[in-house]
Amino acid sequence: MIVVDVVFFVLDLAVLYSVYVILASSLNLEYGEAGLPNFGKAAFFAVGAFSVGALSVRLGAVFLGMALEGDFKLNSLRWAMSVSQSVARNPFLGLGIFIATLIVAVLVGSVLGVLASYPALRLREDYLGMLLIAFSETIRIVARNYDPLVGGTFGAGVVDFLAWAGSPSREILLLFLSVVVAAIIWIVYYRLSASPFGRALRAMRDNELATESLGRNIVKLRMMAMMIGSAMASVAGVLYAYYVGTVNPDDFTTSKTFLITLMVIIGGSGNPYGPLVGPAVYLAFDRLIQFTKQRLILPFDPNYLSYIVLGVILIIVVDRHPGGIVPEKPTLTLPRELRSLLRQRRVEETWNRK
Amino acid sequence: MFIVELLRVESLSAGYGNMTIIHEVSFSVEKGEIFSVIGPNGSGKSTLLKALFGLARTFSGHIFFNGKEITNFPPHKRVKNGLGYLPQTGNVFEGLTVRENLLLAGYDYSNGELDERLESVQEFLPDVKRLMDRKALTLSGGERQMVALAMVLLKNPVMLMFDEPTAALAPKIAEEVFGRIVKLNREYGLTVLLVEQNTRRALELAERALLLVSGSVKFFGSADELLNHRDLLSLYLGL
Amino acid sequence: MAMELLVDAVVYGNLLSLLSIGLSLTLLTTRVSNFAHGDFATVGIYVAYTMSVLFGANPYLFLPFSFVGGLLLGFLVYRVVFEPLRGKASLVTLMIVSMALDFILRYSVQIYADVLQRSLGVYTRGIVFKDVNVNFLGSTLPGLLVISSAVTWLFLLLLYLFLYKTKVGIAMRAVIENPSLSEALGINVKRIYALSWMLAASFAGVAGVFLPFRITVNPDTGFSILLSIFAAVTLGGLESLLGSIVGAYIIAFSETVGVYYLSQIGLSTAYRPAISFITLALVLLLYPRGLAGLWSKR
Repeated sequence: MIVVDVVFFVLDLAVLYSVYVILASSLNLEYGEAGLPNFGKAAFFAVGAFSVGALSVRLGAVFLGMALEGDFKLNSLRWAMSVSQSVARNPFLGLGIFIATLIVAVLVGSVLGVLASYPALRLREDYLGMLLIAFSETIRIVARNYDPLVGGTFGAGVVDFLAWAGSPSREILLLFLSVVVAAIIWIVYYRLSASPFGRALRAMRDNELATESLGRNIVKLRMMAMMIGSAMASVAGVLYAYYVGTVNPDDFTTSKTFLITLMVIIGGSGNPYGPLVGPAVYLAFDRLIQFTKQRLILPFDPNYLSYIVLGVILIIVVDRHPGGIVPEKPTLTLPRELRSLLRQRRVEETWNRK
Repeated sequence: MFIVELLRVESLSAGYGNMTIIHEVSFSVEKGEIFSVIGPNGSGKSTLLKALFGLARTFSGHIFFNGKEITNFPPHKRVKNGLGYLPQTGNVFEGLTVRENLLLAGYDYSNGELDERLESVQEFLPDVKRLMDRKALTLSGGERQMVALAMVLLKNPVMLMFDEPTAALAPKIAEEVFGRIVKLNREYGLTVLLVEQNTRRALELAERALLLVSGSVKFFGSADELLNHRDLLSLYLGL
Repeated sequence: MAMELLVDAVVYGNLLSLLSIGLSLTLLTTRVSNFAHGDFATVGIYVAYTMSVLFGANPYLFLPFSFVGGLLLGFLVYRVVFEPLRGKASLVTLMIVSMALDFILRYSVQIYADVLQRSLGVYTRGIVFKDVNVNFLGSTLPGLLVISSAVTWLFLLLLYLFLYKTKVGIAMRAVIENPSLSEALGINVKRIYALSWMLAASFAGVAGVFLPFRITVNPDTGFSILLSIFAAVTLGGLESLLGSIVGAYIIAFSETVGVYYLSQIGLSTAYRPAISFITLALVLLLYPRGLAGLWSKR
């Protein structure tokens, strides 16, 4: 039925867009505002998803007094389905599972974010980026191989917490939920960006020494930025996990981090509207390519093209319009000359490191 | 007797990024003279030299050197036209031996040319010979200065710009450096543009001078006159 | 068993050192932490594979083609992507650009693999090359061991001679240390940068050809060993070419031997990459200068 198709298409697009907006906002906060290149983004995204993957079924079983016998890896999908059946009869069970997993996700994400902020103290920015990638991959490898967590390579089944609503209400609710959550998070990000906290982050990004001498606690600022950013990414992971219905560690590779990073830069890393633009650009191209692939006969899988196009766009943006599609608006507090001197000094320091 | 203007600077404004450090600086240097640039710390003396050499951003104005307008020339083109520049730091390759450093200074020369030039430079700076296989990193401050000078001389410059050559050197070595500079000027006919913290010596050695304060010219003319100008010197340099 | 392990470690070490020294080189000259470096190797694989399929000969014979392919690719990548950004982009921006480059290269190879499969009817994923046996000093050795060692050490020797005995090579070391002084002395810094990328990519291309003799190769294989390469370079000291060679062999041996012991204590061998990541993290956190910090004075 065409209506169902349209509903699913819109749902898919809206949920993905919401998830990416949240992720892009979190990276914007960490990198665009605070100057922390959190290339471990996929890991924090994963934390949210893994919380759901590891816990939704187990919690459901606890609430239901169900005993889970056997291997998690082999049975999680089956167990998820039977818990979902119970949810179909009991909406509060679904809600309970959802909220519990969300809380765990946000807590774990925040703690991890705080931990990850410590290396930022001693490392040059590109080395910090590398460290965070290593961290991200380690988490993925562990999840991939430690089966009890999220079922290793099989992935984990996720309880359908909306099983009590029939189609298409279920889909509409999910869409609504994602969009609302994304909107809330984005507004929080926007407010933070415009607040004194945001200004302090940007000052720290542009010149640590000066910011410190003005009495700002750099360590605390970094920690807060990473904590909030990681919590956000975690929430995105939760939404994603419930939407997809399963959690697989291979979805959370460095490539995912790269993807989000590209979105952020293309959108505009210093501008709060950037996280709205970047994902839109990517999804627009991606859907466009999906759409035309049915019309053109190509000797290869057109999905690859969206990555190549995105990569090319990023290179063009960095070369021609480095601020991104919506560049950072200059603050009115620092005189323009001083601001660009600070920026130029950052660039100079890069090229004339000795 | 002809007085030939080797360097003429017209209303030069330069700096880094979008920040202007020196404003509308105008002066000239005559062929064969020693010309000193003095001024308090942070007055833009180093930036002036960098701008003359092409390592800083020129916002407006013109630079004429050795008959050509070099305002938009990249550094190595200015070198080819006879401009030599001896910065305070980063003037030798620390990780390379002295021999390798000199080889690179003679990068554009053919092997024969290079050997010839090397010989005449070693005549002027005989100590360089014994340092040939030492890594530049292991040299003392004075030795490093000497190697850097050798490298610049290899390029056959017509004018040499020195950026605080005696900074961080013991007084005895500093005098040796001044001696070399004078020798280069009097015996070898090199025009010298000298930026110095040691105001007294700089003005004693020079024919003409420039007083630079906060990026602007406060005096341009006879070095003797400036040396005896109590007011200016005490006002800007606390002397 | 131990012999096999040793051979595997040496081969992997050879491969990794060719890759690490290239990554190190582009990092030292142009300050780019190149996330597309692994993909240079992938390109090398597919060049050799295509030729071996077209001409029906052993892929070893096509090493020169992968080498030349790398030269071209390195040159193009530098001129088109990184040169315009000189002096304009921060370190992290350069990393991000290399991420974009990784997407472009990796997925282009994916497309190429699809197209090749479609047009020639050969399998272009899960590629494996069959090794030959070589008679060396009276015993029969795996060709991979002999050829990869010979090629690697020859290339490393040539690189050393280049950097220490030729004018251009010495100029490259000078440019690494002080680009503006080099510029002032008349050295064409742009050309040196381009050359460093050409060397890095061509070394990677050659290293790539050895990969399918050890493991099953796909278009994203190069990317998947990228972190081991970074680990090797970091361990050796990010500022040191020699360090990256040493780091490469240590990582190679650790991964190979480590995997063996992992299986002994009942942990999945899939934890192998964790060795690299943990090494990288520990070095960066505890002793960022890496091994080179032990012998370098600066």
